[in-house]
Amino acid sequence: MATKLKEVDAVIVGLGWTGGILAKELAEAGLKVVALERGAMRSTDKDYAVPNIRDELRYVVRHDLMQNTARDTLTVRNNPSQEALPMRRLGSFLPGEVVGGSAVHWSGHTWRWTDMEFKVRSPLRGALRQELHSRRHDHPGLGHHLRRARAVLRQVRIHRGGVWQGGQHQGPDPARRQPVRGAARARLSAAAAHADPGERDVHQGGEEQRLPSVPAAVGKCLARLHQSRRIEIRRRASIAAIASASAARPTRRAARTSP
Amino acid sequence: MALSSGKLSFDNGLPARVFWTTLYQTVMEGMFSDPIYGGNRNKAGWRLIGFPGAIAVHRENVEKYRDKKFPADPVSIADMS
Repeated sequence: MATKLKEVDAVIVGLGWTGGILAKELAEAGLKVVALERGAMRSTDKDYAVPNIRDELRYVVRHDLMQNTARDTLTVRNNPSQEALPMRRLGSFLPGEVVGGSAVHWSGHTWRWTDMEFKVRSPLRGALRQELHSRRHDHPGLGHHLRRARAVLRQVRIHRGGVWQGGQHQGPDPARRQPVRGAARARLSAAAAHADPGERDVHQGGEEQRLPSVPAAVGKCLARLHQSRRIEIRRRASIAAIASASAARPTRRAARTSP
Repeated sequence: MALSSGKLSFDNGLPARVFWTTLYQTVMEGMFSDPIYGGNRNKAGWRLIGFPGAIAVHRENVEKYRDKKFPADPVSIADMS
C-alpha cells in the first residue's frame, strides 16, 4: 500500500554526486528537502576506513556496495526469442546502492579535469580547430566553479585512512595526513609556489587535484543538515513512496517568501 | 582439466562449468580471504604467497622488496580492529 508522506519543498531521488550536492544547496537555501536512496546508510569513518575497506571478498568479489540481486534485479535476454531471466550474478554492469551513489562505487574519489580535457578536440579535428580557437576554450569560465566545488568538497580533508608502519597503527585520523617526501614533495612545493588565487589553481599538480568523495564530504554536510533537521534521508523507499513523495510541489518556498 | 574445460558432464546434475566455477571460487575464498571468514587460518594462504594483508599503504615496500622475500607478518582485518 502506498505510504502518504508529509509534503516537502523538494524531493531528490538518488543521493549521489548530483543529488547530494543539490540536497545540500537546496537545504542551505532554506528548503525542506527529502532525499530518497536505496540501500544501506554507510559512514565514512566506519565503512570507508582501513581496515574494513580492505575487505576484498566483501566489496570486490561479493559486490557489497552494489545492488543485492537476490532481492531486486533486472531481467535480461540476448534476443527476442529467448525468455528474459533475472540477472543474479553481477558482471561488468554494476547497478549500485547506498548513500553516496557512484561517487562511492568508483572508489570514492574523483579528479579535477586537466587543461588537456578542454583542449582535446582541437588537435584531433582540423576543421573544428579554427572555430574552437576563436573562442576561449582552455577552461572556459569554469575556474570559479571548480574552486567552489573544491571548497565545498574539502570541508572534510582528503585522507588516506590508517597507516600501518612497523606494527604501529597511525590513525585512521582524518586530520592526520601522511607526510609527502622526495620528488612528490618537491612537485607539491613547486606547484604551491606557482599557484595564485586565480585560474591557475585549476592546474595545480599533485595531491590537491583530488577531490574527496560525496560520502566523505557532501555526506558530512548532509549529516550536519540532517541533524539540524533540514534534510531528511529516506532509505529503501518503495516506488509507491517515491511516487507519492514526488507529487509534493517544490513551489511552496516561493509562496512563503513572497511578501 | 575435463572439468574446467566443460568436457565432463554430470547425469541429471549441474552443468560442469557451473560446478567448476563454484568449486574454484570457493577454494580461492577459503585459501585467500581474510581469516574473519573462517578460512586462511593463521593467514597461512597469505604467508604462502607473501601477501601483506589489509595494510593501507604498501607502495614503499613494493620498491624495497622487489624480487626479495617480504619478511613481515601479514595483517588481517581482525588484527587492526
